[in-house]
Amino acid sequence: MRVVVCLKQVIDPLTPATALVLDASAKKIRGGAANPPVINGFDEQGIEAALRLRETNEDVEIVCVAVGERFNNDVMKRSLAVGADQLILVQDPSLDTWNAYPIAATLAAVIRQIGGADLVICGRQGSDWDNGLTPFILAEQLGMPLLTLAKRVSITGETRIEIERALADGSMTMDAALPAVVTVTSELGALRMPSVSARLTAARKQPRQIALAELDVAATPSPAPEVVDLTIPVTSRICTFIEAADGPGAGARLAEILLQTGAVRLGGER
Amino acid sequence: MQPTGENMADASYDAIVIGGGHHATIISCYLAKAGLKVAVLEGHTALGGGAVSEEAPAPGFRQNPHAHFTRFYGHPAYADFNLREEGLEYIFPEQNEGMIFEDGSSFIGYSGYRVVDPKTGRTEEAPDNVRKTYDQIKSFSQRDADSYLRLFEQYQKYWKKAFHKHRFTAPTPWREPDALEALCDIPDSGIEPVHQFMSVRQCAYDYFESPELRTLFMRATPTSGGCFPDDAMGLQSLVHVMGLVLSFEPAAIVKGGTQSITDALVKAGKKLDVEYLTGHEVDQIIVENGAAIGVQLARGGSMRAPLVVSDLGVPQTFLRLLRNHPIGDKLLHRVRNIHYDRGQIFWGNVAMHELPKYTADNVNPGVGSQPRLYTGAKDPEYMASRYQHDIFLLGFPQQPYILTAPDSIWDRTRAPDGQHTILIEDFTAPARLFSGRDWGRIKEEFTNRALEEWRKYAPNMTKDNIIGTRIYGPYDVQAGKPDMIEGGWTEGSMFASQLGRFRPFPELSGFRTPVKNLYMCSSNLHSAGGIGRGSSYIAAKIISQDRGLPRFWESAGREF
Repeated sequence: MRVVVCLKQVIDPLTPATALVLDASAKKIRGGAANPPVINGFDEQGIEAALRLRETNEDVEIVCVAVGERFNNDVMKRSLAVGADQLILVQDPSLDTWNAYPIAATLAAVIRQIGGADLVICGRQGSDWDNGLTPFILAEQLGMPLLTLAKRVSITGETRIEIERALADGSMTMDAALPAVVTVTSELGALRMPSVSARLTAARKQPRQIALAELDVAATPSPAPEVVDLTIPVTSRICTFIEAADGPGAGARLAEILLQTGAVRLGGER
Repeated sequence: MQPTGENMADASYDAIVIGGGHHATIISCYLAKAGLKVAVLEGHTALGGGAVSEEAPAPGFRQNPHAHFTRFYGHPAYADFNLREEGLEYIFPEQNEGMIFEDGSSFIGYSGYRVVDPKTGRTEEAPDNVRKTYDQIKSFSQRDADSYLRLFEQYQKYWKKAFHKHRFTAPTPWREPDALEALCDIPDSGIEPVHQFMSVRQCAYDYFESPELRTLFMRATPTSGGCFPDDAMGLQSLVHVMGLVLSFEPAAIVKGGTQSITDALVKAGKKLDVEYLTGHEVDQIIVENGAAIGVQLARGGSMRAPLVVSDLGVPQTFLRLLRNHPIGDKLLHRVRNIHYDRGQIFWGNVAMHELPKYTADNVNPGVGSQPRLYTGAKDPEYMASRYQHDIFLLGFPQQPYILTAPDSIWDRTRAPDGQHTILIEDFTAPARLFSGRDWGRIKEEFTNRALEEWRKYAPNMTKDNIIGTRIYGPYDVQAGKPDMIEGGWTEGSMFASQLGRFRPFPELSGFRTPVKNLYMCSSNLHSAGGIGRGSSYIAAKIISQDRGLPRFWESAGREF
């Protein structure tokens, strides 16, 4: 049984805001060379879901697929270190796009080219733009049912998939025939740590690279949405030095100012 | 926009020191003692840079988040400002470095010099300790034991004095040997010209034959200077490391933690009317007609002084504070290319109920209470060829080499009664090699592996014995210390091509700058990173010479 996990490389959400650069003309945010990217956290949970499936189904082959402009191989190879059998990368400048359609179409083309998949797992959304569109378009392209927001994934009777779906106040169990596309959410749990020896072995492996031109990618329907503008909120700081004879006096004066300006309100007021 | 002199307040200081780090707390005392009215401007709330302590890893414990091993009693400022009277006190255990190996064997170094006057740190030779160390080494190598005796003689006769002079003297021009280079011309000094260019590994293999001392030498070198086995360590590090590995020098424990150094210096400075202004981040240096005349503050306003000293690193000084005064393409190119990829550590304390009970103590009593104790495999080949490789690839070495320092044995201010706290260290990679998310994971993994490793040597180091841990890595360090680029403590790699007259690169190694009235005093310059090194003292001497101020070193009767 082949499980394909779709991965996206994103800016590390822990990158300090001061290190992020807004490229206004290209309408892109750049993290800078000093801040390596990461595998989208939800997608890492997709790898974890696949690894758990393999714990109960020995014949599960895990293939990770990522498409994008340019990859940091050391980062992406974490998927191999934790146990994926194969990592496939499609790198092309045209894939540095906000538009989910060509991304999903390229993923679908890779899956078709490698002979299809029994199960496709995606993270619920990318932590960079939070659109959450790719799995929907991918399911459409592959002609598979889509089950979203799984916090538990299991294969039943070798031909069906069952998921426990995270809801705000409970959960929902869903079932579908394979092949299917599933999105996973953070309740599933974090990706396991690779062992040191697995990391060293992974360091010697190379991802399989497929050129975009080698793929039969479905055309993007036009018109596509466009990003018109991208801005970072402008924050300003006004610093006032409180003059007072001593500490308690300064504290009292600070409290007065906070109340006067409405920065804090006394209990009960809303 | 470049601020001008017009909007500035009237001159109220004779000297402004930018940054309130360790070297600012030293140079401000010297400038004030020369009669100048000095202001120290620190952007953060704390003074002292790397010379600080905090309450961690649990309430009632005291940890040094940055520098831990210090010998400030050997800095001229200790006597010049009566710092012992200001509360800076050292305790001197009679052992120094040791190592326990995986096979249960171990090595104890007993201090070749013994402190006979704790008030001044004055030492005398300790022949009984030399004999004990000799016997320890002889148990695994007669050749290395003989080398030890010969090196100790050479250390006494030549190295010790030259090392001290080198640390507190400005680099000499090219072709003029400095105090350490001069040793190459003395036939029986033990230092030959080739040692200037040997890698750490080459030095380890040249001086020793035993796997014990080769392993210890290669592991102790990064702790003292950040160099990995394939780096050319330079004479400065060679002499420094040899003095520690063979325990020529006694261990020194600063009472109350490293913070005591800063507290004593600031107390001394305040008596000399130095003004320490925290929360005063300098935005840029104001330059008129090629001369520094003051600083513009980030919070608004400016301050004027006819002398400006930057305690910030060269990149901050030239790329940020002087951003409107380009110093020319070649210099800028070199500023941007200073090498920072050394000195990255996992570093922190483990608070515990009882001290580790090392099984090696049963065979070699006392090894468990070495002030600097390494544990790890007796495997120089791993250190030589794979230690750094693993670190850069994984974030930590596959074979851990943990350094521990149980200061609370001697300094009871570090832990509540009946409890202890021990520093642990191993090396890791430059911050940029991993994402913030990965650093979180790697640090957790390192901590777990370190504690697991510890249990191999001291079985009582179970989770039940541990009260708390606080470990810092490069990602944490670079977030709070902008001069520790890539999160390394050395503030610029300390290998031969970035030491002495080449630190951080030849054109800016002289403490003066291309801007008149602007000087530098940080550890980005000679004699490099570490508490109590010489950059600020040397800068103070150069400023005194340039400005006709009293030659304080001469009045103290010092050669340098």
